[in-house]
Amino acid sequence: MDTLLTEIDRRFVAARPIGAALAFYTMDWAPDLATAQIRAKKERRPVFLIFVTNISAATSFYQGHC
Amino acid sequence: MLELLKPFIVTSWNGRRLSDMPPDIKKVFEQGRLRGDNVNIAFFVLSPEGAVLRAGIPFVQPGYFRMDSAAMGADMVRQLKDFFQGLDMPPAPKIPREPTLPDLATPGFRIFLTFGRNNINHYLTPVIETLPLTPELAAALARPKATKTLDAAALKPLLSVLYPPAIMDGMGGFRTITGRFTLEPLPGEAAALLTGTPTFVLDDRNATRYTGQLELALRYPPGKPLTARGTFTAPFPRFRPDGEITETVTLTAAFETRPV
Repeated sequence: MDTLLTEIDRRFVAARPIGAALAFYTMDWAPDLATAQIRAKKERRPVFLIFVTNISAATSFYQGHC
Repeated sequence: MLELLKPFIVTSWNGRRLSDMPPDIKKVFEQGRLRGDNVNIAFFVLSPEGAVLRAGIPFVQPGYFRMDSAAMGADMVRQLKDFFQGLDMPPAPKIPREPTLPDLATPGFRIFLTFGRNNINHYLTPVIETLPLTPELAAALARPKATKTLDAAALKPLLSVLYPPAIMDGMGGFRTITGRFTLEPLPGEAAALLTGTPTFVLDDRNATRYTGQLELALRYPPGKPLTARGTFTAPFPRFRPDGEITETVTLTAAFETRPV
């Protein structure tokens, strides 16, 4: 049975994206505008806001949706 | 493109329609004075004090570029360079090399969804979902004394994230999620296996149906929330507007629990 757990772990490792596949997430993301603005003031940096409307789904660009 | 955005703290807002805007987003949107009643995508640059310095609607038309992701990327770089021209930019700070992935502060699942190579180059970036481990979900996944069967309804929060990317109609939900699952304790170990083959029917025009294999290895450290690792894989049919299947793309999910 332990072999089964090891096999599922192996399949998980193969399926989880790593490295260049996650390049999108290497931007300096803030989860929402309020958090971004608090950090912007403190760090004296500009904010880049991506604004999306999509009738099919109110999802999150930061999570990879469009 | 990532290089161009290095000086910024990047954030996003998504809604179904403009009327969904919360007050802080609405304020920025109004200050940007964009034209149009139906803005699908827009970019804004805000100063550290919150003043809107730039607002614009980028040209995003995959069909114009014949779905060529390299051409689309090059054009977006050109647009961003134009957009940022004349801004007094601070030097790019040293950004940690490790990605900052969507995460949870409380125990829960993080799920990586990837879509295999597809004709229209959709979703080359993985979608990352997060899901709190609610008491109901923890109870459903608790180590049983003997093998037991679970219905899809008991696992609905976990299954509902297995939504494919790039669905262009529907409301982002499911008509049905069905299936029976087996939760089997491993003898002599604080562990169990959850396996099953859920079937999903989307709320899109074609009522797209897909079935795949779910398997989770669950571990139960004493006095702590359960931990899990696992996968879901399904062949996903993509339709043309006339209802013909154009291709079948592999949808893969990798489940892990957080915080580690």
